[in-house]
Parts: sequence; C-alpha cells; structure tokens
Amino acid sequence: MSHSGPSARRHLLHARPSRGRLLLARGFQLLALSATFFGLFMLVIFFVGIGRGVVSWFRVMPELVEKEDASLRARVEHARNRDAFVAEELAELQKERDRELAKAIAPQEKEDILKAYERLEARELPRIEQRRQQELAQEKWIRTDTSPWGLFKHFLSSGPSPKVEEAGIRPALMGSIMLGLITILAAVPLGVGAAVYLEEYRQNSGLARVIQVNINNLAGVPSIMFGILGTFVFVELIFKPLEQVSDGIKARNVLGGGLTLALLTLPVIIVASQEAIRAVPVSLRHAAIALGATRWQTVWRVVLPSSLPGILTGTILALSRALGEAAPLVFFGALLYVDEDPTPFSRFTVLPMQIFNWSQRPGEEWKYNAALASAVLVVTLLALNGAAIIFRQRAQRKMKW
Amino acid sequence: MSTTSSQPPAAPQPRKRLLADRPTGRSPVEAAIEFFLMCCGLLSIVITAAIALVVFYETFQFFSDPDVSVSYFFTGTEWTPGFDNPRYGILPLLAGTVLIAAIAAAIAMPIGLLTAIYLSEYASPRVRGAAKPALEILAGIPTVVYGYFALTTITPFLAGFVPGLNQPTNQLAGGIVVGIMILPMVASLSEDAIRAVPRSLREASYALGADQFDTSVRVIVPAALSGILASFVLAMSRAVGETMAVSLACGSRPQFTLDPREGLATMTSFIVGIALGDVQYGSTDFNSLFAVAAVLFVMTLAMNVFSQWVLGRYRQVYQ
Repeated sequence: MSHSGPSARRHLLHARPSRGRLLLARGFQLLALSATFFGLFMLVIFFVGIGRGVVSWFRVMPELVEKEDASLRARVEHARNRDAFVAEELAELQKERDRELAKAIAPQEKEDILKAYERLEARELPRIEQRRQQELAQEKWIRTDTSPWGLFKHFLSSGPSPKVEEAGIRPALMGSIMLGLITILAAVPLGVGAAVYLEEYRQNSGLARVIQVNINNLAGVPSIMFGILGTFVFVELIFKPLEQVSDGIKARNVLGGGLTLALLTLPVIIVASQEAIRAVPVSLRHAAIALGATRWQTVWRVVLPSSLPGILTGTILALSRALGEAAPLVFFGALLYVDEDPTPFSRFTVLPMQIFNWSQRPGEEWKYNAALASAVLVVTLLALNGAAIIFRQRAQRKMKW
Repeated sequence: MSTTSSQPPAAPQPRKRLLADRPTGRSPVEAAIEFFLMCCGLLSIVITAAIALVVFYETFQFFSDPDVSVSYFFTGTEWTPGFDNPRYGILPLLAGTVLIAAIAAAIAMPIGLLTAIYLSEYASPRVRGAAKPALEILAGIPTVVYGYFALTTITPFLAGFVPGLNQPTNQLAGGIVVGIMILPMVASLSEDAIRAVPRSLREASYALGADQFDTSVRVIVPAALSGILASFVLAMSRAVGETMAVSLACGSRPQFTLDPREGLATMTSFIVGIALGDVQYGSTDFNSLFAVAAVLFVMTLAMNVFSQWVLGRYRQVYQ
C-alpha cells in the first residue's frame, strides 16, 4: 500500500498551483498596475493637450499681431497726410454737390448751391479733424514686440477684446486674486474657530456630533448651491439695498463673491484644522493647564501655534479650490466682459470664467487663448500646492514630538 | 485635659496666594470667546439650513404657478422653458445627469478600485511615490480646464472611431472627463478602506496558503466592501453635482434620450445656462431652476448621508 505518488501530492499545502492559476494571478497584478498608471497616463495626455494649445498660441499670434499692425500702420499713414485725408472725407459731399450743380440751370442757383455746400464743408471740417486725430491715435495700438515674452506680457496685461490677438486676462487675474484674498480672510478665522470649538471645547457632546455631520454634508453639496445661497443672502438681502444708497457699490460685487466662496471652502478648512489640532499631543495641553492657563490661553498660546503648519496647508488647499471654482460665481453674477480693474465693490470676473467663455467661442484661435489661460491657472495652482507640500514636510521635520 | 475650648477660635492666619485662588476660566472674556467659537461651529448648520430654505422656498414659488403641474414635473419628458407653451418635465435633465454619472462610474470605479488595491497590496514605494502625487495633481485641476480638455482633445479623439458622434458637444466626452475627475477620490477613499482592514485578516489568509491575488480579491476587498461602497457613492454624488466641465462638454440642449453620442443638458448645466442667459428674474422660467436645484440637492444629500451611514456602520464592525 503505497501512499506516495501523484495522487497524494495534490493534497499537500505547498503543492504548486496550476499554470492557469498562476496566469490569473499575474494577469490581475498587471491589470491593477495598468489601472494605477492610467491616472498618470491621463495626466500626461492632459498636459500634452494643454501644451498643444499653448504652442499653437505662440505659433499663431505673431502673424495675427503683425497683420493687425500692418492695417493699423496703413490707417495712421493715411491720416498723416492731412490734405489727402480731408479730400477723401469730403469726396462724397463734393460728388453730391456736383450732382446738384448739374441739375441746376440758372447761375444764381449755382451760386446758392456752391455757397450751401461751402457752409456744409466748413461745418464738417472740425469733425473730420477729430476723426483724423483718432486715426493718428491708433498708432499707440501698434505692437512692435512679437517675441514670445512680449506676446505673453501683453496677454497678462490687457483685458477682453473682440479681437483674438488683443484679448488678455488682466481683469480676470485681478479678480481672482482679490477674490481669493477675501475668501481666505473670511473663511480661515471662522473655520479655525469652528475647529477649535469642536476639538477643544465640546469634544463629545451631541451638538458637536450634529455639527460634524453637517460639515461632512456641506463638503458634498454641489458648488452651484452655494452660488444660489450667496446670491440670495449677499445680493438680495445685503447689497441690493446698499446699491440704492451709494453709486460706487454694485450688488454683485467681489466682496459678496468672496464671502460666497468662503462658505464653500469652510468645510475644507474646518476638517484640515481639526486634523492639525488633533495632532498636537495632549501632554502639551496638560502642561499648559498645569501651569494655570485658562482654556482659551491654552488654545491661543499652545495649541494653535503648534498646529499652524497643518492649518496653513488646509488654507492653501482651500485657496486653490476657491481659485478654480466657477460655478457658484456664474450664478452669483461674475461677468463675462469686464474692462477695468476690480474694486471690492465693483463687478468682476475670474480666470475660470474667462476660460469658460473663451472655450465656448467658435474659432480655433479663441481656444488657443483658453489654453494659455488654463496653463496660467494650472501652473499657479501647482505652484501653490507644491509650496504647501514643501512647507508641510519642513514643518513636520521641525516638529518632533 | 479640657475637651472644650473656652476661647473662640483664633482668626485665620493670612495665607500665601495659592494657585487655587487665581480667577477661574469662567471669566466673562472666556465666556464671550466660547460663545464666539460656538457661533463659528453653528455656522455650518446655519449654512445647510439656509441652502435648504432658499431652494425649497423658491421651488414652492415655482410650483404655485398655475402653469406648472407637479406630476408632470416628475414624469414629463419635455423640458422647454423658453417656448410659448412651456413644459416643465424634468426627465430630460435627469437623463443627462444619469448618463454622465453612469459613464463616469464605468471609468472611475473599476480603475479606482484596482488602483487602490495595487497601491495598498502590491506597490513598491517607488510606484507609490509616482502614483500618489499624480492622483493628487489630477484631483487639483480646476473643472473648467477639464471641460476645455474634453472639448479640444477628447471629442476630436473620439470622433475618430465613434460613428455618429455629435460634435462639438456630446455626453461621452463629458462622462469620460468627469470619470477622470472623480478617479482620485475613489482611489484614495478605497485605499483608506483597504488599509483599515486589520493585518490579522491578511496574515491569516497568507498563512492558509493564499497568494496575493486570492488575498486581495477574496479576503480584503470583501472585508473593506462597505468603505469601498461608501467611496463609490461619494464619488457619484460628486459626478452628479459637477457643473462647469459638463457645461462645456455637453452643451445645454435638453433632450430625452440615453444615447451618449448626443449632447444633453444636465441639471447642473441647465442651472448655469439660465444664470448666464437673460431670463427675467422672478419669472416662472427662472424659478424652474430652483426646482431643478431642489432635486439636485435632495439627490446629493441622500447620497452623502447614505455614504456617511455606511462608513459609520463599517467603523463599528471592527471595534
């Protein structure tokens, strides 16, 4: 009775798996690996897509600018020669006069017609001179700098325009910066205050649980709802009445938009601050209390300074979210065409809105503009987030509990 | 020995100032600070309540207009606010949103889950160091830029091999882009769920002779299933609420069809369309956006509450 042999081997724990089984396991590993790299792959495709738009922009712009320059130069040249300009402007009038003269028969009629048209011409002269000055003034629009850096500088410093080569992102940039500042100034104190309340004052009460649930829910609300809320509260309730009072205050202004975005980013800041505050070891708090500090003194002088790096990271995350948001501002009333620099009480536009607007216009060149604006936005956000990560790493190294 | 003392007790000696004599934390300043902090905390409740109030009040205004019927709103298949005889049936908008969510789910859920499994079970530190930042960057790109990407890169690419694709706006490109957008969310939340599975389960599985594939697929994923499910639902809620990218990629024409090659308006792109257009404030057409917003709010709130509940139950299982 021999128990060895092929049939006995199959029941050993360390029997080798079948080839099909090995293939399945290896195949699954490969599948999971390619899934992981799908994200990286899409990121590369994304940057290639944007990069193509930016390259096309730099390729196409010099010709367009030069064409525009040429036509402007022609107009200026034409205006420089005063007699020719005046003669051309008066040509229609003179043709009309000659037609009338031909119709008249009596020499007295001809005299009258000549005098009437002389008076008309004299009245026209100042207007013609004004038009000539305007044409001469077009000279300042001639852009001689068609180098990439010059074009980019123009892009950053000019406002919207119906002409593709003239359009720029300056009001959008200013609006975004101002909006981001207002959002952070409003959201950080309120958010950190709420986090302190939840972590230091009311750790386990029912109220704290309700607030926590609410914060988690708010984080998932679509951003456009905040636009609806912000419009109702800030525009209808607060700023529309103020608009009657003062002329410089517009209802849908930067302040309201910034406060709306502050409501939106509040959950982000609260959660990040909570985590930062929780990371401060209890021993520090106990030491402070043992030294006789009150609760607020503990928070203000011990807990908050220690959790500052985490709070700052959360702030930068909230800022980059606010800079990229467009939906609530669309509802709030960010305009698509804003010319002057924004003040806190004026109407405004932001960079995502500008990208949205340009992407929808027909024509390839507008999409190139959108690509360049997107590149500016993405690079700025990447720089912000990168700075936050470096800052967090450095702070973590310094704080060794 | 006298047991009673005939003299009255001496006056207490003046004693040194002790720490116990200092003013307690209940000074009025402390109380005021605590009140201010409580207001900060209550602000989030106020915000949620305010959103619900505003949206439902205006929805009520919308439904109190005699032209609008509630039953048709939920069952009707025509959404034509601008026309002479406007009809307000939300099903076309719902179809647009559902299409986007379905396509995004088809992309983000399998790939996100596989990514989470790979990153927590198989990956070497180098691969993790490359993949995690990539996913974070993907998550940080503004949605408008994703919309531009859908318009200029994805739609032309799809047009090469999808017959009958509507250009420039179609639901397929919008769904793909929203899927890429929520992919980092699914991956990171699922990874958290998988990491929370206790090591003892893994070690038991390996001790019984299972390989990595068996352990991951037949032990760990079922154990982390509720967390993974919660991540799916949260990502869905994000996809449903996505506005700018679908506005750019899918256009704003409400149609009642489930063909992803067409460009259908979604609930969110309709709200944006009205806000950007010149519909008169306060008119019935304008108020229709509040009704749509109410449906959107209820949907996303339900999904968020459900996923929070699932996460809460999941945490208890391992307690």
